[in-house]
Amino acid sequence: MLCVEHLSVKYNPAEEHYALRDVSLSVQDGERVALLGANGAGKSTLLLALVGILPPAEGTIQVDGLTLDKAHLPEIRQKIGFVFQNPDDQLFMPTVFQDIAFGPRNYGVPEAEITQRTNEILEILGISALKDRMVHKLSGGEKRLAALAGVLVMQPTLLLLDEPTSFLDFQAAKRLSDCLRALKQSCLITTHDLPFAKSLCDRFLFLDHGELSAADPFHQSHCFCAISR
Amino acid sequence: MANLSSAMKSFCLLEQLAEGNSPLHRLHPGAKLAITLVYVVCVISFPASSLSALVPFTAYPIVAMALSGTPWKPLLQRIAVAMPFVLFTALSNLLLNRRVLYFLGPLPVTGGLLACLSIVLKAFLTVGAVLVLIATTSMETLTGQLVRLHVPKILCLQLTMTYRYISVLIQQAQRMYAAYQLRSCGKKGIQMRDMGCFLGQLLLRSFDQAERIYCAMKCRGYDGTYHAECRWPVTARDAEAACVASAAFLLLRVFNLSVLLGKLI
Ligand SMILES: Nc1ncnc2c1ncn2[C@@H]1O[C@H](COP(=O)(O)OP(=O)(O)OP(=O)(O)O)[C@@H](O)[C@H]1O
Ligand SMILES: [Mg+2]
Repeated sequence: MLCVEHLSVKYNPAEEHYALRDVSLSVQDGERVALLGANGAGKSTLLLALVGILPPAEGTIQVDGLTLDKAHLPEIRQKIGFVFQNPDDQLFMPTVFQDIAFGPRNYGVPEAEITQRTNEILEILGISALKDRMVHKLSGGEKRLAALAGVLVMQPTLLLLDEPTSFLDFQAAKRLSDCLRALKQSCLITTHDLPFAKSLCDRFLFLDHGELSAADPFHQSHCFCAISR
Repeated sequence: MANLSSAMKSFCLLEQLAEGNSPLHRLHPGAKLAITLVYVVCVISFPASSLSALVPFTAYPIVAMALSGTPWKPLLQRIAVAMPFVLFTALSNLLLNRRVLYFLGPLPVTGGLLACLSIVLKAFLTVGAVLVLIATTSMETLTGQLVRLHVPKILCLQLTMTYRYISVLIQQAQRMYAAYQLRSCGKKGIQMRDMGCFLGQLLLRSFDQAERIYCAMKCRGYDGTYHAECRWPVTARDAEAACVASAAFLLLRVFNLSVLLGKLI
Protein backbone atom coordinates (compact mmCIF):
# COMPACT_ATOMS: atom_id res chain seq x y z
CA MET A 1 0.00 0.00 0.00
CA LEU A 2 2.61 2.47 1.17
CA CYS A 3 6.31 2.11 0.63
CA VAL A 4 8.83 4.72 1.74
CA GLU A 5 12.50 4.29 0.95
CA HIS A 6 15.39 6.32 2.36
CA LEU A 7 13.27 9.42 2.77
CA SER A 8 14.97 12.57 4.02
CA VAL A 9 13.18 15.89 4.45
CA LYS A 10 14.47 19.38 5.19
CA TYR A 11 12.29 22.38 6.00
CA ASN A 12 14.96 24.72 4.78
CA PRO A 13 17.11 23.42 1.90
CA ALA A 14 19.87 25.88 2.84
CA GLU A 15 20.20 24.38 6.33
CA GLU A 16 22.10 21.29 7.36
CA HIS A 17 19.37 20.09 9.71
CA TYR A 18 17.13 17.28 8.49
CA ALA A 19 13.63 17.04 9.96
CA LEU A 20 13.61 13.44 8.68
CA ARG A 21 16.67 11.40 7.81
CA ASP A 22 16.82 8.17 5.85
CA VAL A 23 13.39 6.88 6.83
CA SER A 24 12.25 3.60 5.24
CA LEU A 25 8.95 1.98 6.09
CA SER A 26 6.03 0.18 4.54
CA VAL A 27 2.37 -0.24 5.40
CA GLN A 28 0.55 -3.27 3.98
CA ASP A 29 -3.05 -3.37 2.78
CA GLY A 30 -5.42 -3.18 5.73
CA GLU A 31 -2.61 -2.77 8.23
CA ARG A 32 -2.84 -0.23 11.05
CA VAL A 33 0.51 1.21 12.06
CA ALA A 34 1.18 3.61 14.92
CA LEU A 35 3.93 6.15 14.58
CA LEU A 36 5.25 7.12 17.98
CA GLY A 37 7.88 9.54 19.13
CA ALA A 38 8.59 12.52 21.33
CA ASN A 39 7.52 16.07 20.51
CA GLY A 40 9.44 17.37 17.54
CA ALA A 41 10.56 13.89 16.50
CA GLY A 42 9.24 14.42 12.98
CA LYS A 43 5.93 12.52 12.99
CA SER A 44 3.85 15.29 11.45
CA THR A 45 6.68 16.04 9.03
CA LEU A 46 6.59 12.44 7.78
CA LEU A 47 2.84 12.59 7.19
CA LEU A 48 3.15 15.91 5.37
CA ALA A 49 5.81 14.42 3.13
CA LEU A 50 3.60 11.41 2.38
CA VAL A 51 0.89 13.62 0.86
CA GLY A 52 3.40 15.67 -1.10
CA ILE A 53 3.10 18.85 0.93
CA LEU A 54 6.76 18.73 1.92
CA PRO A 55 9.01 17.68 -0.96
CA PRO A 56 11.55 14.98 -0.11
CA ALA A 57 15.20 16.03 -0.16
CA GLU A 58 16.11 12.41 -0.89
CA GLY A 59 14.32 9.09 -1.22
CA THR A 60 11.10 7.86 -2.78
CA ILE A 61 7.51 7.40 -1.70
CA GLN A 62 5.14 4.93 -3.36
CA VAL A 63 1.42 4.70 -2.74
CA ASP A 64 -0.44 1.76 -4.28
CA GLY A 65 2.41 1.30 -6.74
CA LEU A 66 2.38 4.97 -7.81
CA THR A 67 5.53 6.97 -7.22
CA LEU A 68 4.85 10.30 -5.57
CA ASP A 69 5.75 12.94 -8.14
CA LYS A 70 4.03 15.86 -9.80
CA ALA A 71 2.25 13.70 -12.38
CA HIS A 72 0.78 11.26 -9.84
CA LEU A 73 0.07 13.72 -7.05
CA PRO A 74 -3.68 14.25 -7.73
CA GLU A 75 -4.25 10.49 -8.03
CA ILE A 76 -2.28 9.78 -4.85
CA ARG A 77 -4.12 12.47 -2.92
CA GLN A 78 -7.39 10.88 -3.91
CA LYS A 79 -6.19 7.62 -2.35
CA ILE A 80 -4.97 9.21 0.88
CA GLY A 81 -7.12 10.72 3.60
CA PHE A 82 -5.11 13.05 5.81
CA VAL A 83 -6.37 14.42 9.11
CA PHE A 84 -4.29 17.37 10.29
CA GLN A 85 -3.00 17.75 13.82
CA ASN A 86 -4.97 20.96 14.29
CA PRO A 87 -8.61 20.72 13.13
CA ASP A 88 -8.76 24.50 12.60
CA ASP A 89 -6.40 24.01 9.66
CA GLN A 90 -8.83 21.68 8.04
CA LEU A 91 -12.32 22.96 8.69
CA PHE A 92 -12.95 25.99 6.59
CA MET A 93 -16.44 25.77 5.17
CA PRO A 94 -19.09 27.54 7.25
CA THR A 95 -21.06 24.50 8.44
CA VAL A 96 -20.10 20.96 9.39
CA PHE A 97 -22.16 19.43 6.58
CA GLN A 98 -20.63 21.72 3.99
CA ASP A 99 -17.15 20.97 5.20
CA ILE A 100 -17.70 17.23 5.07
CA ALA A 101 -19.17 17.58 1.58
CA PHE A 102 -16.18 19.63 0.36
CA GLY A 103 -13.97 16.66 -0.55
CA PRO A 104 -16.58 14.50 -2.31
CA ARG A 105 -17.85 17.53 -4.25
CA ASN A 106 -14.33 18.16 -5.51
CA TYR A 107 -14.29 14.61 -6.84
CA GLY A 108 -17.70 14.99 -8.46
CA VAL A 109 -19.64 12.59 -6.22
CA PRO A 110 -23.41 13.06 -6.86
CA GLU A 111 -25.23 15.20 -4.28
CA ALA A 112 -27.59 12.42 -3.16
CA GLU A 113 -24.65 10.15 -2.43
CA ILE A 114 -22.79 12.93 -0.60
CA THR A 115 -25.77 13.47 1.68
CA GLN A 116 -26.13 9.75 2.33
CA ARG A 117 -22.42 9.23 3.01
CA THR A 118 -22.27 12.31 5.25
CA ASN A 119 -25.22 11.17 7.33
CA GLU A 120 -23.68 7.74 7.70
CA ILE A 121 -20.31 9.03 8.82
CA LEU A 122 -21.89 11.52 11.25
CA GLU A 123 -23.91 8.66 12.71
CA ILE A 124 -20.85 6.42 13.09
CA LEU A 125 -18.85 9.16 14.84
CA GLY A 126 -21.85 10.04 17.00
CA ILE A 127 -22.02 13.67 15.89
CA SER A 128 -25.26 13.76 13.87
CA ALA A 129 -26.43 16.66 16.01
CA LEU A 130 -23.56 18.81 14.72
CA LYS A 131 -24.54 18.51 11.06
CA ASP A 132 -25.79 22.06 10.56
CA ARG A 133 -23.68 23.75 13.22
CA MET A 134 -21.21 26.52 12.40
CA VAL A 135 -17.71 25.05 12.57
CA HIS A 136 -16.23 27.98 14.45
CA LYS A 137 -18.69 27.43 17.27
CA LEU A 138 -17.66 23.83 17.95
CA SER A 139 -15.56 22.66 20.86
CA GLY A 140 -12.05 21.31 20.26
CA GLY A 141 -13.17 17.68 20.32
CA GLU A 142 -16.19 18.34 18.14
CA LYS A 143 -13.95 20.07 15.59
CA ARG A 144 -11.63 17.08 15.65
CA LEU A 145 -14.51 14.67 14.94
CA ALA A 146 -15.87 16.92 12.18
CA ALA A 147 -12.41 17.05 10.57
CA LEU A 148 -12.21 13.25 10.77
CA ALA A 149 -15.64 12.93 9.19
CA GLY A 150 -14.52 15.18 6.33
CA VAL A 151 -11.75 12.72 5.53
CA LEU A 152 -13.55 9.43 6.18
CA VAL A 153 -16.39 10.49 3.89
CA MET A 154 -13.96 10.41 0.96
CA GLN A 155 -13.41 6.67 1.52
CA PRO A 156 -9.63 6.82 1.04
CA THR A 157 -7.58 3.63 0.75
CA LEU A 158 -4.91 4.91 3.13
CA LEU A 159 -5.64 7.01 6.20
CA LEU A 160 -3.00 9.27 7.72
CA LEU A 161 -4.12 10.54 11.10
CA ASP A 162 -2.04 13.10 12.97
CA GLU A 163 -2.86 12.70 16.65
CA PRO A 164 -6.50 11.82 16.11
CA THR A 165 -7.28 11.56 19.83
CA SER A 166 -6.00 14.97 20.87
CA PHE A 167 -8.93 17.04 22.20
CA LEU A 168 -11.10 13.89 22.49
CA ASP A 169 -12.67 12.66 25.70
CA PHE A 170 -12.41 9.00 26.65
CA GLN A 171 -15.73 8.03 25.08
CA ALA A 172 -15.12 9.82 21.81
CA ALA A 173 -11.64 8.29 21.61
CA LYS A 174 -13.15 4.85 22.17
CA ARG A 175 -15.79 5.48 19.49
CA LEU A 176 -13.08 6.61 17.10
CA SER A 177 -10.99 3.56 17.85
CA ASP A 178 -14.01 1.27 17.21
CA CYS A 179 -14.77 3.14 14.02
CA LEU A 180 -11.21 2.83 12.75
CA ARG A 181 -11.08 -0.84 13.67
CA ALA A 182 -14.19 -1.44 11.59
CA LEU A 183 -12.56 0.12 8.53
CA LYS A 184 -10.76 -2.02 6.00
CA GLN A 185 -8.37 0.76 5.01
CA SER A 186 -4.72 0.92 5.96
CA CYS A 187 -3.92 3.53 8.59
CA LEU A 188 -0.77 5.30 9.66
CA ILE A 189 -1.49 7.03 12.95
CA THR A 190 0.78 9.35 14.89
CA THR A 191 -0.16 9.60 18.52
CA HIS A 192 1.00 10.14 22.07
CA ASP A 193 -1.98 8.14 23.33
CA LEU A 194 -0.41 4.75 24.01
CA PRO A 195 -3.57 2.90 25.17
CA PHE A 196 -5.29 4.07 21.97
CA ALA A 197 -2.37 2.94 19.82
CA LYS A 198 -2.10 -0.40 21.62
CA SER A 199 -5.79 -1.12 21.30
CA LEU A 200 -5.92 -0.28 17.62
CA CYS A 201 -2.63 -0.85 15.84
CA ASP A 202 -0.97 -4.00 14.55
CA ARG A 203 2.51 -2.54 14.53
CA PHE A 204 4.46 0.37 16.02
CA LEU A 205 7.17 2.54 14.57
CA PHE A 206 9.26 4.85 16.64
CA LEU A 207 10.73 8.11 15.38
CA ASP A 208 13.58 9.65 17.26
CA HIS A 209 15.05 12.98 16.13
CA GLY A 210 13.89 12.39 12.59
CA GLU A 211 15.15 8.83 12.34
CA LEU A 212 13.20 5.62 12.49
CA SER A 213 14.72 3.85 15.41
CA ALA A 214 13.15 0.46 15.90
CA ALA A 215 11.20 -2.21 14.14
CA ASP A 216 11.65 -5.25 16.35
CA PRO A 217 9.55 -6.06 19.42
CA PHE A 218 12.36 -5.65 21.90
CA HIS A 219 13.05 -2.14 20.74
CA GLN A 220 9.37 -1.39 20.70
CA SER A 221 8.98 -2.16 24.39
CA HIS A 222 12.08 -0.13 25.02
CA CYS A 223 10.54 2.75 23.10
CA PHE A 224 7.29 2.43 25.02
CA CYS A 225 9.24 2.87 28.21
CA ALA A 226 11.07 5.83 26.74
CA ILE A 227 7.93 7.74 25.91
CA SER A 228 5.74 6.62 28.76
CA ARG A 229 8.34 7.74 31.27
CA MET B 1 -10.03 42.18 24.99
CA ALA B 2 -13.42 43.78 25.46
CA ASN B 3 -13.11 45.05 21.90
CA LEU B 4 -12.15 41.63 20.56
CA SER B 5 -15.01 39.96 22.44
CA SER B 6 -17.51 42.47 21.21
CA ALA B 7 -16.16 42.10 17.66
CA MET B 8 -16.68 38.35 17.96
CA LYS B 9 -20.13 38.81 19.45
CA SER B 10 -21.29 41.20 16.78
CA PHE B 11 -19.83 38.90 14.13
CA CYS B 12 -21.82 35.98 15.50
CA LEU B 13 -24.97 38.06 15.86
CA LEU B 14 -25.61 38.34 12.12
CA GLU B 15 -25.23 34.57 11.84
CA GLN B 16 -27.66 34.00 14.65
CA LEU B 17 -30.11 36.37 13.04
CA ALA B 18 -29.76 34.52 9.74
CA GLU B 19 -30.84 31.29 11.45
CA GLY B 20 -34.29 32.76 12.17
CA ASN B 21 -37.54 31.49 10.69
CA SER B 22 -39.59 34.45 9.47
CA PRO B 23 -41.37 34.76 6.08
CA LEU B 24 -38.33 36.72 4.88
CA HIS B 25 -35.93 34.04 6.10
CA ARG B 26 -37.96 31.43 4.25
CA LEU B 27 -37.92 33.37 1.00
CA HIS B 28 -35.63 31.87 -1.67
CA PRO B 29 -32.14 33.43 -1.46
CA GLY B 30 -32.27 34.17 -5.19
CA ALA B 31 -35.48 36.16 -4.71
CA LYS B 32 -33.96 38.11 -1.84
CA LEU B 33 -30.84 38.76 -3.86
CA ALA B 34 -32.89 40.01 -6.83
CA ILE B 35 -35.04 42.26 -4.63
CA THR B 36 -31.98 43.75 -2.95
CA LEU B 37 -30.21 44.27 -6.26
CA VAL B 38 -33.18 46.04 -7.88
CA TYR B 39 -33.62 48.13 -4.75
CA VAL B 40 -29.97 49.19 -4.60
CA VAL B 41 -29.84 50.01 -8.34
CA CYS B 42 -33.05 52.05 -8.09
CA VAL B 43 -31.79 53.99 -5.07
CA ILE B 44 -28.39 54.85 -6.45
CA SER B 45 -29.73 55.73 -9.89
CA PHE B 46 -31.43 58.88 -8.57
CA PRO B 47 -29.65 62.09 -9.47
CA ALA B 48 -27.73 63.84 -6.71
CA SER B 49 -30.31 66.57 -6.19
CA SER B 50 -33.39 64.36 -5.72
CA LEU B 51 -34.27 63.88 -2.11
CA SER B 52 -38.05 63.71 -1.94
CA ALA B 53 -38.20 60.80 -4.40
CA LEU B 54 -35.90 58.77 -2.12
CA VAL B 55 -38.10 59.14 0.95
CA PRO B 56 -40.63 56.38 -0.02
CA PHE B 57 -37.70 53.95 -0.36
CA THR B 58 -37.10 54.10 3.40
CA ALA B 59 -40.17 51.87 3.73
CA TYR B 60 -38.35 48.75 2.44
CA PRO B 61 -35.67 48.33 5.13
CA ILE B 62 -38.22 49.17 7.82
CA VAL B 63 -40.82 46.69 6.52
CA ALA B 64 -38.16 44.03 5.94
CA MET B 65 -36.80 44.46 9.46
CA ALA B 66 -40.30 44.22 10.92
CA LEU B 67 -41.14 41.14 8.81
CA SER B 68 -37.95 39.33 9.72
CA GLY B 69 -37.89 40.39 13.36
CA THR B 70 -34.40 41.87 12.93
CA PRO B 71 -33.56 44.19 15.84
CA TRP B 72 -32.91 47.72 14.60
CA LYS B 73 -30.21 48.68 17.07
CA PRO B 74 -27.38 46.36 15.92
CA LEU B 75 -28.28 47.07 12.32
CA LEU B 76 -28.07 50.82 12.89
CA GLN B 77 -24.70 50.31 14.59
CA ARG B 78 -23.39 48.54 11.50
CA ILE B 79 -24.77 51.21 9.20
CA ALA B 80 -22.99 53.77 11.38
CA VAL B 81 -19.67 52.01 10.67
CA ALA B 82 -20.00 52.86 6.97
CA MET B 83 -21.08 56.42 7.63
CA PRO B 84 -17.76 58.24 8.23
CA PHE B 85 -16.61 57.51 4.66
CA VAL B 86 -19.95 58.60 3.26
CA LEU B 87 -20.05 61.74 5.37
CA PHE B 88 -16.67 62.79 4.07
CA THR B 89 -17.91 62.68 0.47
CA ALA B 90 -21.26 64.20 1.38
CA LEU B 91 -19.79 67.14 3.30
CA SER B 92 -17.40 67.99 0.49
CA ASN B 93 -20.51 68.54 -1.68
CA LEU B 94 -21.67 71.10 0.82
CA LEU B 95 -18.57 73.16 0.13
CA LEU B 96 -18.41 72.64 -3.63
CA ASN B 97 -21.96 73.60 -4.61
CA ARG B 98 -23.16 76.70 -2.74
CA ARG B 99 -25.78 77.86 -5.24
CA VAL B 100 -28.97 78.68 -3.28
CA LEU B 101 -31.98 76.92 -4.82
CA TYR B 102 -34.73 78.10 -2.49
CA PHE B 103 -35.36 79.26 1.05
CA LEU B 104 -36.97 77.09 3.70
CA GLY B 105 -38.22 79.89 5.95
CA PRO B 106 -35.05 81.82 6.75
CA LEU B 107 -32.83 78.80 5.85
CA PRO B 108 -31.17 78.88 2.40
CA VAL B 109 -31.22 75.44 0.72
CA THR B 110 -28.21 75.03 -1.56
CA GLY B 111 -27.63 72.41 -4.25
CA GLY B 112 -24.77 71.11 -2.11
CA LEU B 113 -27.03 70.58 0.89
CA LEU B 114 -29.50 68.58 -1.19
CA ALA B 115 -26.69 66.47 -2.68
CA CYS B 116 -25.20 65.96 0.79
CA LEU B 117 -28.48 64.75 2.29
CA SER B 118 -29.18 62.61 -0.76
CA ILE B 119 -25.80 60.86 -0.51
CA VAL B 120 -26.27 60.17 3.19
CA LEU B 121 -29.79 58.84 2.65
CA LYS B 122 -28.72 56.66 -0.27
CA ALA B 123 -25.88 55.15 1.76
CA PHE B 124 -28.22 54.57 4.68
CA LEU B 125 -30.78 52.82 2.49
CA THR B 126 -28.40 50.66 0.44
CA VAL B 127 -26.28 49.53 3.39
CA GLY B 128 -29.48 48.88 5.34
CA ALA B 129 -30.92 46.76 2.53
CA VAL B 130 -27.74 44.68 2.22
CA LEU B 131 -27.58 44.20 5.99
CA VAL B 132 -31.18 43.01 6.03
CA LEU B 133 -30.27 40.54 3.29
CA ILE B 134 -27.32 39.20 5.32
CA ALA B 135 -29.34 39.13 8.53
CA THR B 136 -31.96 36.92 6.87
CA THR B 137 -29.76 34.70 4.70
CA SER B 138 -26.85 32.56 5.87
CA MET B 139 -23.52 33.10 4.18
CA GLU B 140 -23.36 29.66 2.61
CA THR B 141 -26.84 29.96 1.06
CA LEU B 142 -25.89 33.34 -0.26
CA THR B 143 -22.60 32.21 -1.83
CA GLY B 144 -24.30 29.07 -3.17
CA GLN B 145 -26.83 31.33 -4.85
CA LEU B 146 -24.11 33.60 -6.21
CA VAL B 147 -22.40 30.58 -7.77
CA ARG B 148 -25.68 29.59 -9.41
CA LEU B 149 -25.95 33.10 -10.80
CA HIS B 150 -22.56 32.53 -12.45
CA VAL B 151 -20.67 35.02 -10.29
CA PRO B 152 -17.01 33.90 -10.73
CA LYS B 153 -16.42 30.98 -8.38
CA ILE B 154 -13.11 32.33 -7.20
CA LEU B 155 -14.90 35.42 -5.85
CA CYS B 156 -17.46 33.27 -4.06
CA LEU B 157 -14.72 31.14 -2.55
CA GLN B 158 -12.86 34.26 -1.42
CA LEU B 159 -16.06 35.49 0.19
CA THR B 160 -16.70 32.21 1.99
CA MET B 161 -13.15 31.89 3.22
CA THR B 162 -12.78 35.50 4.30
CA TYR B 163 -16.02 35.24 6.20
CA ARG B 164 -15.02 31.97 7.82
CA TYR B 165 -11.52 33.12 8.78
CA ILE B 166 -12.45 36.46 10.28
CA SER B 167 -13.70 34.43 13.22
CA VAL B 168 -10.56 32.26 13.30
CA LEU B 169 -8.41 35.40 13.30
CA ILE B 170 -10.43 37.06 16.07
CA GLN B 171 -10.32 33.88 18.14
CA GLN B 172 -6.57 33.59 17.55
CA ALA B 173 -6.07 37.19 18.70
CA GLN B 174 -8.37 36.54 21.66
CA ARG B 175 -6.36 33.50 22.78
CA MET B 176 -3.05 35.33 22.35
CA TYR B 177 -4.36 38.29 24.29
CA ALA B 178 -5.68 36.12 27.10
CA ALA B 179 -2.32 34.35 27.36
CA TYR B 180 -0.54 37.72 27.32
CA GLN B 181 -2.78 39.13 30.06
CA LEU B 182 -2.22 36.14 32.31
CA ARG B 183 1.51 36.81 32.26
CA SER B 184 1.51 40.59 32.24
CA CYS B 185 1.12 41.17 36.01
CA GLY B 186 -2.29 42.79 35.77
CA LYS B 187 -1.25 45.59 33.41
CA LYS B 188 -4.12 46.83 31.27
CA GLY B 189 -4.03 46.33 27.53
CA ILE B 190 -0.96 45.45 25.50
CA GLN B 191 2.16 47.43 26.40
CA MET B 192 3.51 49.56 23.59
CA ARG B 193 6.86 47.72 23.61
CA ASP B 194 5.08 44.35 23.14
CA MET B 195 2.67 45.58 20.49
CA GLY B 196 5.08 44.93 17.60
CA CYS B 197 5.73 41.35 18.70
CA PHE B 198 2.05 40.72 19.32
CA LEU B 199 0.92 41.95 15.92
CA GLY B 200 3.88 40.32 14.19
CA GLN B 201 3.07 36.97 15.79
CA LEU B 202 -0.57 37.31 14.85
CA LEU B 203 0.40 38.04 11.26
CA LEU B 204 2.89 35.15 11.08
CA ARG B 205 0.43 32.72 12.61
CA SER B 206 -2.24 33.84 10.17
CA PHE B 207 0.14 33.31 7.23
CA ASP B 208 1.09 29.88 8.54
CA GLN B 209 -2.49 28.92 9.08
CA ALA B 210 -3.48 30.17 5.63
CA GLU B 211 -0.80 27.93 4.16
CA ARG B 212 -1.89 24.91 6.17
CA ILE B 213 -5.52 25.49 5.23
CA TYR B 214 -4.57 25.57 1.58
CA CYS B 215 -2.63 22.31 1.98
CA ALA B 216 -5.61 20.72 3.73
CA MET B 217 -7.84 21.83 0.86
CA LYS B 218 -5.48 20.36 -1.72
CA CYS B 219 -5.42 17.08 0.21
CA ARG B 220 -9.17 16.90 -0.22
CA GLY B 221 -9.06 17.32 -3.97
CA TYR B 222 -9.33 21.10 -4.28
CA ASP B 223 -8.12 22.14 -7.73
CA GLY B 224 -9.21 25.76 -7.86
CA THR B 225 -12.89 25.14 -8.53
CA TYR B 226 -15.50 25.86 -5.92
CA HIS B 227 -18.40 23.44 -5.76
CA ALA B 228 -21.23 25.06 -3.87
CA GLU B 229 -24.61 23.45 -3.72
CA CYS B 230 -27.83 25.37 -3.34
CA ARG B 231 -30.67 22.90 -3.12
CA TRP B 232 -33.44 25.35 -2.47
CA PRO B 233 -36.34 24.97 -4.90
CA VAL B 234 -37.87 28.19 -6.21
CA THR B 235 -41.60 28.27 -5.49
CA ALA B 236 -44.26 30.37 -7.20
CA ARG B 237 -44.48 32.46 -4.02
CA ASP B 238 -40.77 33.32 -4.21
CA ALA B 239 -41.08 34.42 -7.83
CA GLU B 240 -44.21 36.38 -6.99
CA ALA B 241 -42.56 38.18 -4.08
CA ALA B 242 -39.50 39.05 -6.17
CA CYS B 243 -41.65 40.38 -9.04
CA VAL B 244 -44.00 42.42 -6.84
CA ALA B 245 -41.19 44.00 -4.84
CA SER B 246 -39.07 44.76 -7.91
CA ALA B 247 -42.07 46.25 -9.75
CA ALA B 248 -42.86 48.43 -6.73
CA PHE B 249 -39.28 49.74 -6.62
CA LEU B 250 -39.28 50.45 -10.35
CA LEU B 251 -42.60 52.32 -10.08
CA LEU B 252 -41.23 54.37 -7.18
CA ARG B 253 -38.15 55.06 -9.29
CA VAL B 254 -40.24 56.37 -12.21
CA PHE B 255 -42.96 58.21 -10.26
CA ASN B 256 -42.12 60.50 -7.38
CA LEU B 257 -44.59 59.35 -4.74
CA SER B 258 -43.82 62.28 -2.42
CA VAL B 259 -44.72 64.79 -5.14
CA LEU B 260 -47.86 62.86 -6.13
CA LEU B 261 -49.06 62.77 -2.52
CA GLY B 262 -48.23 66.46 -2.15
CA LYS B 263 -50.38 67.28 -5.17
CA LEU B 264 -53.27 65.24 -3.75
CA ILE B 265 -53.13 67.23 -0.51
N1 LIG C 1 7.37 24.88 9.42
C1 LIG C 1 8.52 24.47 9.97
N2 LIG C 1 9.68 25.07 9.66
C2 LIG C 1 10.85 24.64 10.18
N3 LIG C 1 10.96 23.62 11.04
C3 LIG C 1 9.85 22.97 11.40
C4 LIG C 1 8.56 23.35 10.87
N4 LIG C 1 7.64 22.53 11.40
C5 LIG C 1 8.30 21.68 12.20
N5 LIG C 1 9.62 21.93 12.21
C6 LIG C 1 10.66 21.19 12.94
O1 LIG C 1 10.73 19.87 12.45
C7 LIG C 1 10.89 18.93 13.52
C8 LIG C 1 9.77 17.89 13.46
O2 LIG C 1 8.54 18.52 13.69
P1 LIG C 1 7.15 17.76 13.66
O3 LIG C 1 6.09 18.77 13.65
O4 LIG C 1 7.20 16.78 12.56
O5 LIG C 1 7.20 17.00 15.06
P2 LIG C 1 6.16 15.98 15.67
O6 LIG C 1 6.87 14.70 15.86
O7 LIG C 1 4.93 15.96 14.88
O8 LIG C 1 5.92 16.62 17.10
P3 LIG C 1 4.59 16.69 17.98
O9 LIG C 1 4.46 15.40 18.67
O10 LIG C 1 4.89 17.78 18.95
O11 LIG C 1 3.46 17.02 17.07
C9 LIG C 1 10.89 19.76 14.79
O12 LIG C 1 12.20 19.93 15.20
C10 LIG C 1 10.30 21.09 14.40
O13 LIG C 1 10.87 22.11 15.16
MG1 LIG D 1 3.00 16.64 15.20
